Amino acid sequence: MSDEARLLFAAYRPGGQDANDPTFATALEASKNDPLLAQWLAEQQEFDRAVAEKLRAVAIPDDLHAKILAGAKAGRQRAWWAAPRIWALAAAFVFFAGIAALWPGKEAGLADWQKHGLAVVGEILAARESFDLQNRDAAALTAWLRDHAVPQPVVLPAALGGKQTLGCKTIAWDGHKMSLICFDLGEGVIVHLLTTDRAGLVNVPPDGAPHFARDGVWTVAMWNEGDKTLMLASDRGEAPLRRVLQIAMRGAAPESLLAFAR
Amino acid sequence: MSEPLSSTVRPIDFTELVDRHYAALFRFALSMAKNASDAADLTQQTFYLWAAKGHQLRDLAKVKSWLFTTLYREYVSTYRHNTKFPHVELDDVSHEMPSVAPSIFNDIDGNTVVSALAAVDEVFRAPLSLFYLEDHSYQEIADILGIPIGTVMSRLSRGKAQLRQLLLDANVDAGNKIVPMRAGGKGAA
Repeated sequence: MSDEARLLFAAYRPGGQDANDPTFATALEASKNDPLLAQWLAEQQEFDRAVAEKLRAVAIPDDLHAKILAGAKAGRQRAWWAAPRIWALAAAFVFFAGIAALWPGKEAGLADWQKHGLAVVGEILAARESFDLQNRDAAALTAWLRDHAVPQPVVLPAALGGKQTLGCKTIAWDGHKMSLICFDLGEGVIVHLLTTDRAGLVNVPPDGAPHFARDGVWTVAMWNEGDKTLMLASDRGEAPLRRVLQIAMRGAAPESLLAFAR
Repeated sequence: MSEPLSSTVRPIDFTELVDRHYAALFRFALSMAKNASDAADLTQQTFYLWAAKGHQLRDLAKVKSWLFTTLYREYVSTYRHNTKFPHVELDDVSHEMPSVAPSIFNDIDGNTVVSALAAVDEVFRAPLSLFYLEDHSYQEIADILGIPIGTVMSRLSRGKAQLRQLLLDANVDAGNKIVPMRAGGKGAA
């Protein structure tokens, strides 16, 4: 007990903050019946108090406080993705989510992997999750996803080259890897593109034109691209999705998108 | 003094955050980086990162841990060159602490203690600094450093033993009077 108690007491703060922590209860009780252990603890506490007091007296550079504030201010100017506009979008998301909750709509019955992907998007918009990489350039995001061996879209990022991206994230679901890229269409409209391998998934759309569905606040378009399946999501209804797909069709659209155009 | 970074969607006041934590962060950085210039850079970088993305953190209770974790990661990625800490098992821990009479501190200033702390093996220094400088609990230290609780305790135990020995040596070098105490943690003479 004695060695075990000494090990525990190494983490026992001298100010009494841990007095009610059950981790230390047995050791503290043992020290009452072991004068040597009690003395050892008292000496250690005295040593700890003295060291802490000396260290806390170390002077801080006079100009550090001002430098921190100045540096952070510059940082704010550089952090474009932390701009109030993004927070306004998040607020809009919460608003629309609230509306959707009150408004009975048709539910598409998305598969769990799709719901999980949308849940992650919601977490990002609510600032509880963050992107793995923030960049305005879609090519930078797809390169990063390629480097991390995550399924990635080909057609849309290339076709939407004129549109800025917000960032990307890798998502894991039940052994499957997904990538997420968020596109900023301007005027407060963001669409979110999830891409994953088709193999082993349920609710994969048939080849051909994109299929539209709704799930809560989300409207999604789903289609396949080779061995990948993609889901484009918007919390602003079908219009932004159709807009994106039409832009994509002007580029090197796959068969599915050409079918969609008919 | 400065325009706050907070907006209507960011409830944590930045200036208040700096006021509350910058001194402890600087002292933690100083114990790790060993010089004031690098420590100041680490502290500034930590708050810069907060300004850039710390706003995503909404739980005020987690702010302190976020700041210390971020500073430690910055230190590891920027200043530390050896890529792995030596692995320390619980069983390896010795409680052979050289006892130091409290009176030794009458003649040792804070800078000497900082120097001694800086000389402690790095693997023990981080938890030790967090324990002394900002009064973190063992659980908080485990969270900040990303190590198990048992490892925190063993590193604190080992680190304190090293620190005691270093202070003892410093005191001897300075020709100060040492009050000998029985080593081994089995009680004072």
